[in-house]
Amino acid sequence: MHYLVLSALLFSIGIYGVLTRRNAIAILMGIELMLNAVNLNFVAVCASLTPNQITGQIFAAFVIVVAAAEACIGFALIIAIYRNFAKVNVDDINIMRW
Amino acid sequence: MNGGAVWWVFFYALSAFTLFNALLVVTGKNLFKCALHLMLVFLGVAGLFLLQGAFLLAGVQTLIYTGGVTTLILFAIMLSEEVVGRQRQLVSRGVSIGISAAICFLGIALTIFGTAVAQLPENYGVHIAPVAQFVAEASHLPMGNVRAVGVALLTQFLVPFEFASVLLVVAVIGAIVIARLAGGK
Amino acid sequence: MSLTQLCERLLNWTGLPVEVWVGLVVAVIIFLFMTVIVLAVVYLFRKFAGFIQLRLGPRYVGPRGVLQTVCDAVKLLAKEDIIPAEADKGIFIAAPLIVFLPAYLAYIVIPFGQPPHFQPKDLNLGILYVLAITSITVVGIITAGWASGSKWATIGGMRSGAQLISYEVPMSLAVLVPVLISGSLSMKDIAEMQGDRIWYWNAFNISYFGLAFIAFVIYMICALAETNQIPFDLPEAESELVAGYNVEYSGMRFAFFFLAEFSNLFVVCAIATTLFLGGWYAPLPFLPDDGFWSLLWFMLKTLTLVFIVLWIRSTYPRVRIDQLMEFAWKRLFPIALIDLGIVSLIVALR
Repeated sequence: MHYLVLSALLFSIGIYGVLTRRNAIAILMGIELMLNAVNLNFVAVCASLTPNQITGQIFAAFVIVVAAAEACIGFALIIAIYRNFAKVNVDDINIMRW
Repeated sequence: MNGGAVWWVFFYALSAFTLFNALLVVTGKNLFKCALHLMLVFLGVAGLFLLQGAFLLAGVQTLIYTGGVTTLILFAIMLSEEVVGRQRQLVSRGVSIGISAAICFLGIALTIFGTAVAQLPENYGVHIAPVAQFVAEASHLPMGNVRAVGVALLTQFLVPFEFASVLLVVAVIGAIVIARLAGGK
Repeated sequence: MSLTQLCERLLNWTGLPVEVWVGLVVAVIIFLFMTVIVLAVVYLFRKFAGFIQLRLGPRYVGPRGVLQTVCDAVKLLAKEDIIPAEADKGIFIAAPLIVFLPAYLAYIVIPFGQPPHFQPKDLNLGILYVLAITSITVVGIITAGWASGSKWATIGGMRSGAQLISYEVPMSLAVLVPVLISGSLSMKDIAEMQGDRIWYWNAFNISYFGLAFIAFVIYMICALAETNQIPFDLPEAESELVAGYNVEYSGMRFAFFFLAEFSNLFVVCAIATTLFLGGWYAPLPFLPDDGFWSLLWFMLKTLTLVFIVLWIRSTYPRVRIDQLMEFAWKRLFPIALIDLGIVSLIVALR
């Protein structure tokens, strides 16, 4: 239960970060927090329900892989946006909204 | 002092450390400092993995998150901010919406956990490794064994494993293309 | 009351498990060992570079100048602590620690001699632990450059960051070769797998057709880059690049960077010894390699590698940043990848 509460708290902090930040990099940092919370849950639930299996860890490893890919693409996008707009605030990037 | 108590000390210390730094990540004014606090969050989570006996995962977490993602974030910050001189202050918007959304989620999650836990055995979510074993034999617990993870990855989870590697290749190439072609260069 | 009784009393009084105290003692020993090693390596380097460049090197402090580096260290520590006005104070102070701690923690898994006596802790993760811990160094270096609040330091920090992450890739691939051959990540297992015959050591084992030797060479080249040695010592290029991330640092904080750099030099050579040169074993079966002999053999091999690095350091010019990056991504990376592929085929077919 403690791990679940901890990861729920961490996830909430991540949600707060994603919703309130205007800087795209800070938003991605919030998403990383949420992914870490999910990983904690995977490992803790697996360790307590099926202590002899490692399915939770494998899942967490896949989450880490996807998170790495996400971070890679996300920051490439941010750099591309910065080169075009000279800013990374998501509120200002509304060129598609005609 | 028995093993369980020390385990709890470790657990609460790491949890407090992680949550404190996570709060600083989402409320800090200086983006660079936020990134450094995020690194500490990653390290704290790695420590929590260790407490669950997931040693390989803790190593991978340190290698990829602390070493890789943090570096990526720092580079992104340096490439997209005015790095020298005055830094732009981060502003938050819609704080009340953010807080209420976070609290809503927390409430839903805790309710679900509460109802689910009622049907589950005692000590749910906690795997206590005796601390003597934890300190002295940290590497020889059955869980988190490198070999076990490797075998599982290449037998039971082979298809997702291959997909993950394809995903990584696609992501790397995509990132290069996006970052290079931007700005018409 | 004897000393052991006193220790026992103290232990019982604190109520902490004995492992904690053993850990603390080991931590202090590692720190002292690290300092002594760095001082010795710096002294030897100065003497050796002097010999190569037809100079005398340090002469006056102590017999043959052995205490020169100690004096220099004391001088560094006693210097005025300058924090630039533009610097971000907290991060500026934290950055040397972020660089220093991984260098220090990396010592934990290295088998300096026959385990368990000369290895602080044999981890199942072994070499993965070292790679994970040392990858934090990059963060510290970028942070140092950024926190200085000077454009030279910032650009230098990014340059060093790019250098370190680029060379980490072929380095990890090269490290995987001995891991594949011995089927374990643990430093102890990898060393034990090679044994006390020189022709079974990974670097010289002909059953891998010299591929492991290629991995060894790639590892050493990457080690040069990871520890900022010539020909990859861009952070030290005072004349053309105004040094690098550490240009605003002085006194004690600079000493931390310096300590970490030379300690890392020793650590990468020690890892190369463990992974490729048979660890603490003697080259031939009839030579003694137990107890303190194992420590002697290990240090002998490691210091030989250190000397080769210092030899390169006092001989070669430094490369440009574009040459540096191209070399990593267009030469080392493909070679390491192909090497790893063939070795894994050999291991699979055996």
